[in-house]
Amino acid sequence: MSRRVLVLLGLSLVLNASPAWTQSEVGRSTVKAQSSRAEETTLSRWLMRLHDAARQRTYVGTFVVSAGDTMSSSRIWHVCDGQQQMERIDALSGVARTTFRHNDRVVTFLPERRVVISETRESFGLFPNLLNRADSSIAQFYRLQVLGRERVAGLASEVVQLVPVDALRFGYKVWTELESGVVVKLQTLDAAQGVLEQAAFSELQLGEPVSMDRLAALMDNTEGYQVHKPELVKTTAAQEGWLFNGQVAGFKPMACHKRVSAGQSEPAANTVQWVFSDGLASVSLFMESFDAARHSKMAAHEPMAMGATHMLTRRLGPWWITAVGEVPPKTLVIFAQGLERKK
Amino acid sequence: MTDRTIEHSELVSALVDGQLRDTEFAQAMAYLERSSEARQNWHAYHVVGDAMRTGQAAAGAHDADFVLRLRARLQQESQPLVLPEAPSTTVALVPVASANDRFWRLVVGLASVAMVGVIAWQGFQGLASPGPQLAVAPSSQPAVASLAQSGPAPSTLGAAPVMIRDPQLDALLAAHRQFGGTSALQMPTGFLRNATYEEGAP
Repeated sequence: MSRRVLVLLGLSLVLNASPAWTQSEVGRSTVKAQSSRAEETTLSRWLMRLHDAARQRTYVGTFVVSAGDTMSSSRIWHVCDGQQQMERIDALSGVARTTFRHNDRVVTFLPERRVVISETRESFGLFPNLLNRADSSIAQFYRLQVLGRERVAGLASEVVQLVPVDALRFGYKVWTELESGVVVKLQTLDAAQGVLEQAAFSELQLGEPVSMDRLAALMDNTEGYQVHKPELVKTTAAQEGWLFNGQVAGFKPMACHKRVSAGQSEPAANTVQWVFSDGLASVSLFMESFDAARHSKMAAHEPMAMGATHMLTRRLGPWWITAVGEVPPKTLVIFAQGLERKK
Repeated sequence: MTDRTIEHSELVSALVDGQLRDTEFAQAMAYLERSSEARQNWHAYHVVGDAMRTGQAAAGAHDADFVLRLRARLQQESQPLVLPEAPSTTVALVPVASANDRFWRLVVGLASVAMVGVIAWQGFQGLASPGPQLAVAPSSQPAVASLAQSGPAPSTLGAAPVMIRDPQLDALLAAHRQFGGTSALQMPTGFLRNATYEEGAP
């Protein structure tokens, strides 16, 4: 796309008071529709645009994450051809590591340990289905507010806020590049509008040429590395003897896995992970056998926080429960207390 | 004037001139303490010294009284920990006074005791803050103590978020990131965030 076309596009967007993603086939007909339905459509359309931008745009940039009092940064290459998505993330801070992603396949190189962690993340494929599901709760539990326009990393962007309807979840403020819809900045906000965590591009080159073949070659070149694949078995909570008897509005069980063997820096063998989500925030419940040697020093205590992520531990008879999620501590308390052993 | 008195006067004079060390210094101080005559001499020698150096008596007659009053006050307030400002006072005053002035020696002595007290207090607090030792500190809060025991790394609690640096917790956090990412925001940004943000061991 030539620069002139971009300028024209930008101008037309500026002149139109309504957000870019409401203009198109659905157009203004939604305005006449029932208001709650319209809100749902608006939020879904906005999320769809976010998702499409990631599938259709190629870019190179520097990404900065600040959570709590720590700050991390990485160099990012993102390429896609409509079907395939490929990404490379070089951590610029902390332990040296490079993460490659090819659709749902993720490979992390740890050069200092000469270890490669190879895994498949099926949750990546969930998103469009998540949105299309009749019981999709995102629009029910978050309100979308268009806040205006701001410049991020030198790019004009639109700012929207996803306001939670209750205190069980956090809010989000999202900056998307005006023309492409690529997310350039994301903040997680607590009830007092305080920023718990922020992720943003400090520099971003949209449309920068990135070779998918080269990235693929680098991703597969594991020579000299020990390849490690975490062994996970798909299971159900019921099958593992667990029941969730609590009520956390909007959160639905998404998946349940069991770890077969424990590797270095991995949860213990036989740890069951049960994941819940309200569409934006997710909570993992980890159930494992109580081990006095490992757990007694971690006496059940107040929830801990790391940016937007909170954590809570609890002993339940011979079991040790850990609840982790990007939700307020009180939500984790409901999760941890609602868990019951059936057998 | 007896020989002994002359001897004592010379001792005071030598003290004024800063010539006494160790035993002699201790003797002179003891003498000054018990003899008001010696203290008058001490003051007189200073006035004489000032007059000889500057051509006029710089120190007024009321100075001795002032010193006495100040000394009385200092004795009342001689608990070392309530003199946190003493070091800076000393720094300001010592260059003005004669270095071997008994009064200033007293101030310096008290100040150094105060300083040692302050340093010891800070040292105690420094030792007490990280790890389980906090549990024995009288003012520790139960929540902090329980948290301090939870992991080997130093933790803070309060308004600031707690950094979790426990391998077991890190592993669960990493697992949550890997398989708990069922968020609509995961795909464009959440994944980049998780790959960028260091969770300890990945």
